[in-house]
Amino acid sequence: MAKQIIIEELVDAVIKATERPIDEWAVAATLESMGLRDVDAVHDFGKRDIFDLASDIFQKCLAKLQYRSSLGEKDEALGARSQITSFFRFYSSGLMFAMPMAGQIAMLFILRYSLWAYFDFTEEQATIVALGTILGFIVTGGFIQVIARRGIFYREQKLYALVKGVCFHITKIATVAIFAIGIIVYLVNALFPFLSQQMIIVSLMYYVLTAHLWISMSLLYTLEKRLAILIATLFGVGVVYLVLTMTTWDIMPAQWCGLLAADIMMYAIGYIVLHRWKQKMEGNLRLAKLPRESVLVYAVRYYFIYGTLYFAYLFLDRIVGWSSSTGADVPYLFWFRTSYELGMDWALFSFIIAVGSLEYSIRRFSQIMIPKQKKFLGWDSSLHNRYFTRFYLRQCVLLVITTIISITLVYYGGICIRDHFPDVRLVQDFFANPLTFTVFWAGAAGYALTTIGLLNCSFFFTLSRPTLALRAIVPAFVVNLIVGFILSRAISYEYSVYGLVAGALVFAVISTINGWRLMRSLDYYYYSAY
Amino acid sequence: MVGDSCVRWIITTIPPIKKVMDYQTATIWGIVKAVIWFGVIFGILPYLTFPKLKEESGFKTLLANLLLMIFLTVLVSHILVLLHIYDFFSLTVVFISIFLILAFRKARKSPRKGIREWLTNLNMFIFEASEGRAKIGGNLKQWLLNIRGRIARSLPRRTELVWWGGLLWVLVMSGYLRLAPAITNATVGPRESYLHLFWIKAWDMNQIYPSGIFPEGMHALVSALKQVTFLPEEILIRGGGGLVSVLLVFIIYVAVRELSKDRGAALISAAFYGIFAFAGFLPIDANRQIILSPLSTSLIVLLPTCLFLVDYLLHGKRRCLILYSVGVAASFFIHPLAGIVALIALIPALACHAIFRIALPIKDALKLLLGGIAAVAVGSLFPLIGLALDKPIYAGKPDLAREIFGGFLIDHDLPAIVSSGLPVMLIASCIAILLLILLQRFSSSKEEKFGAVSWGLIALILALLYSAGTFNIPEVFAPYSVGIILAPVLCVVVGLVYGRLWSMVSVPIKKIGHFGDYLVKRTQPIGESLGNSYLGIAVAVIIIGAMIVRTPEFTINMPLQEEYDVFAEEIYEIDQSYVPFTWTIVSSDEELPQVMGNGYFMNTNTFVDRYSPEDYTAHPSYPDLALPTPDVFIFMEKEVFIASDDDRESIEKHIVQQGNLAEWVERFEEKHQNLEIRYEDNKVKIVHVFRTPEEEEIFREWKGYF
Repeated sequence: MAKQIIIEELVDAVIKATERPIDEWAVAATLESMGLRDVDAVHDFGKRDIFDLASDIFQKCLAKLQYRSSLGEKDEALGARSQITSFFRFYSSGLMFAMPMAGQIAMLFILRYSLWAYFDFTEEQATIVALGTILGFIVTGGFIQVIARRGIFYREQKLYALVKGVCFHITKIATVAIFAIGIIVYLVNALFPFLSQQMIIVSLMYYVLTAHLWISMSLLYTLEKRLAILIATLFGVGVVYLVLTMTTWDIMPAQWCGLLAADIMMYAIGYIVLHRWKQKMEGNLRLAKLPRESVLVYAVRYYFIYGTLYFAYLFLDRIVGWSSSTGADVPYLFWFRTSYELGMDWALFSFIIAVGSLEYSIRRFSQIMIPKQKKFLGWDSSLHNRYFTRFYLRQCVLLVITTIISITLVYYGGICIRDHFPDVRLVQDFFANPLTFTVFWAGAAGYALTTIGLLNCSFFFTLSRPTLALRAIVPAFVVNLIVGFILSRAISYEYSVYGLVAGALVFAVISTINGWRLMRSLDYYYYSAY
Repeated sequence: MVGDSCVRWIITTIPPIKKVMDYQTATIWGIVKAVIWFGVIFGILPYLTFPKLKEESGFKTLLANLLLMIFLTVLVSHILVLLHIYDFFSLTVVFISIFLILAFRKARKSPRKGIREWLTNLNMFIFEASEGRAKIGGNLKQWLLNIRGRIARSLPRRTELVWWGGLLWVLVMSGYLRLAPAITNATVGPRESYLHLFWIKAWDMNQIYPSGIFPEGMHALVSALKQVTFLPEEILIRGGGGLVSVLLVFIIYVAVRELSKDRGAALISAAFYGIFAFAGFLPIDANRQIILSPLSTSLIVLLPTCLFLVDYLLHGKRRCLILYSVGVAASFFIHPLAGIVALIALIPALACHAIFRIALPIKDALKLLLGGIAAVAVGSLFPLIGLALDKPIYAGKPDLAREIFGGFLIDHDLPAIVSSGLPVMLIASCIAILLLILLQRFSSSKEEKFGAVSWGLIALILALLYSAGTFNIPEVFAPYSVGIILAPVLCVVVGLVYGRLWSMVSVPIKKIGHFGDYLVKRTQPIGESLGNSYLGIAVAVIIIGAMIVRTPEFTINMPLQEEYDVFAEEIYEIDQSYVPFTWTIVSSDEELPQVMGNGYFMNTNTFVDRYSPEDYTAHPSYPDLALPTPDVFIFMEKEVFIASDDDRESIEKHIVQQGNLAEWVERFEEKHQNLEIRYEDNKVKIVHVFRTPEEEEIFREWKGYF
């Protein structure tokens, strides 16, 4: 009996060491590495030699693995039943992303202003603010991606000292970049005066403050403090309210104060949380150090480029449309178009609702990847890949269904509000221009296709294949630019939205082809991912 | 409160929405900016990126690049406008692409390979920097030291500095004479300038041939400059004439220097055109050089084109043929007469071939023929596209056919413009060409002989065309226009004659120069001797000085105005002070091109007829009652402005119109309070009608949240 127990322990040890032993020889080698000798095999286990013992243990390993696998199937069967529950759990978690934005929109309707929006902005003021915030997004896009990537990477390994180190180190670099690019933009504007002096300075104020808002948000997102983001942004609006009610300041300085307060609060929360986590660290984990900076740069460079390009791609249609003078008289090189923006904002709701399902797809993928892989034998790789290809297709279908539902909901939601509140001025004005509807449909189509691209990119990032994402986003950006530019000049400014549609189509198609290929050879990609 | 004062400080230190610069300062600043940008786009960037031949001089490369850039700019602009995508972004992208592609080609790399290499270097830099090994400060310092070293090496020597100083003086004087009236007068110029302004602004709005087919090469160039400088078109058009002339003076300098290798000759010919054009020596009205016109602009293309034609016939280089063809096409783009002259220049140049018994290989002759045909085809492409688009040929003033052919094709009964007196220019040209041919006997360089005689013959042909009327020969081309082209060519010939004479008399002087060198213990090649240089410039200065003394008093006036100066000045200030498209100007039609693209315009008659002064109320629900913009400026003439080409009938109409307007304003004042006088003197009055607070509130309410 005692011998049987020891053999069972050896089987577990071999499985632990090799996960799935390839053959008897591998088991023999593992046993030898544990210190077992021929003499032990003879005396302790009554075998001829270590290879005889290895042969026996190998058979037991296979039997045990098969048994575990059948248990796993049962688990999965259980998982299949709970898939709907897990979908809603992860989906709602994905939707938490939108909570700060929802909070800002709510504030906008309650107070008529938020951290960077205001109902009574003139088009000139809206232009200034929009340019600043968009520039903030584009400049910080890469840094946001890098903070999230490396921060989560270390967080999952519970290396909190490194999370703190990497997040604040990248924040420092981002701050330098934000100011440097601000100065460059100012100098370029001096060379090509597309905005007046006052306009560019005010715009750059919004740029610096919102850029820090996005960076600090990404920090809290990495720490999974989503509620804190919501609280901090609402706190910022509170500061705007206080400044407006207690001083004689105008809306713009008030918003600067609000943004500054939100920035400081989020950085402070991030710092405190990380400091506490670091204090809790024990043992050798405390000794972990960040890799050399060049290694860090090498590891994250593609994520950085992707992040920057993604935000540039997302706002490109607006920049292109606002800089076209076809179809309207524009006072400056860039001019905010309210009806266009309303259509895009309306479509953005559908995008946010659909994006929630990405969280489910990617978490599910991470959840099943290792158990599923263990289930398949080495020579069954085609079955393994086929399983994941089907899984991938199911996620695509799920996303398409979610997107269609979200667009329908958002559209009819808007129409419902219009029909039920015809006397409310705000509602009247929102739907006053037919152009808003045209832009909504095109924007919704563009965003729907973008979500497909994002789904694929999520798989690429999970498997550490950022170049596949870049191969999709770069042509998408170029097509978005060229199509939008030509149409917005040749026909009318609002046609820049079709640039987004064309770019999104390219993004979806190329990334889907790459995604399909990836899933067809997932065994290789998974093996080489880490 | 500290915070309160901080915010106030930030807000007060930020300059207002638009700091209004007075229009003289704005014009000077605009001219400086235009020169810098022109230098960057048409000079420095092509110099750095365009291919060049090793044996080609720097000056010649500059002219080649200028030709290529003008051709490319006009061609690209036309294509972008036809595609309706012409604006700052598309033009900048095309320019950057051209420069990048050529830069990579110059470095013998494919653009793809070049970009990849550049990205690799960037990658390496980032990695090195992340390891703390890339010393940005150190690299920058080294780069600055390299630049300083290069500048120090290329700095001219003492003698050269004197020559450069001389050239600079000629250029500055030429610029001053032509630009001073443009700075002191706010008006755009004569009637045709308003039309050009209108076309340039239409070009900015992607409209080709808005009034009918007329070559728009000049308009494309000005518009391109406007896109990168963000300057008002009015400033560019007012300063453009002077700047084009200064550039032409520089081109004359380069041409003579290249042909004669004599800087004194080059300086004298440049001064002849730049300064003494105002003394009436040349067959042009120098005051017309103050305003920008397609024909005068085409000269900056025509002269280098002729230079490269002569070069091609002499050396048979492919580059020269390409440059000649590009030049012919560019000339046709800007003004067809320049293109025709560039083709006519083939005749004397080929004749010169015969004179000097240089065999022209049939292959080269064929290439020249094909190049010429291709150039004419490309040059006429856009007018043909215009015809295909069903655009009519422009029939108003400036009349292109009359500018080219005078009365020859149009009206044979018209008297010739130059119909009496001695054909001075013809005689001058004959003497010059004779002198040139005779003096070439003393020249050992075949290149110099060929160049000088070719240019002499070109001048002779132009002089014949110019003076044809004197001999009762039909004037095929309008003498006035031919005179504009003849003037710079004649200056080149004068320079060449002087150069030849100077080279003959300078042999003994060179010896004296060497003695001087010996005294100051300097050893230099014969042609570069110190004494020779000083003597050369001394002689040049004496000649120029003598010409100044003998020159009658300069009369520099802004030619022909179409409106009061104060009107143009006020439009500029309104444009600078108010947000674009929030204001309307009510005035006569001269103001329309100035208002275009910045605000709205309504003709005085239409305004008086359409709106009742008593009921004039801004209300979104009743748009017929008032103009929709928040600010309206009414331009009134107390004393009606009479332009030189106004006839009695139009003056009388104008008087009635202004009377009606004055009555309208008077009736408005009786009923309303929202009017203020913006400007008034004894000739004009400008009133500002603004919205009342109640009207403003209604509009705010109406506009809604979005």
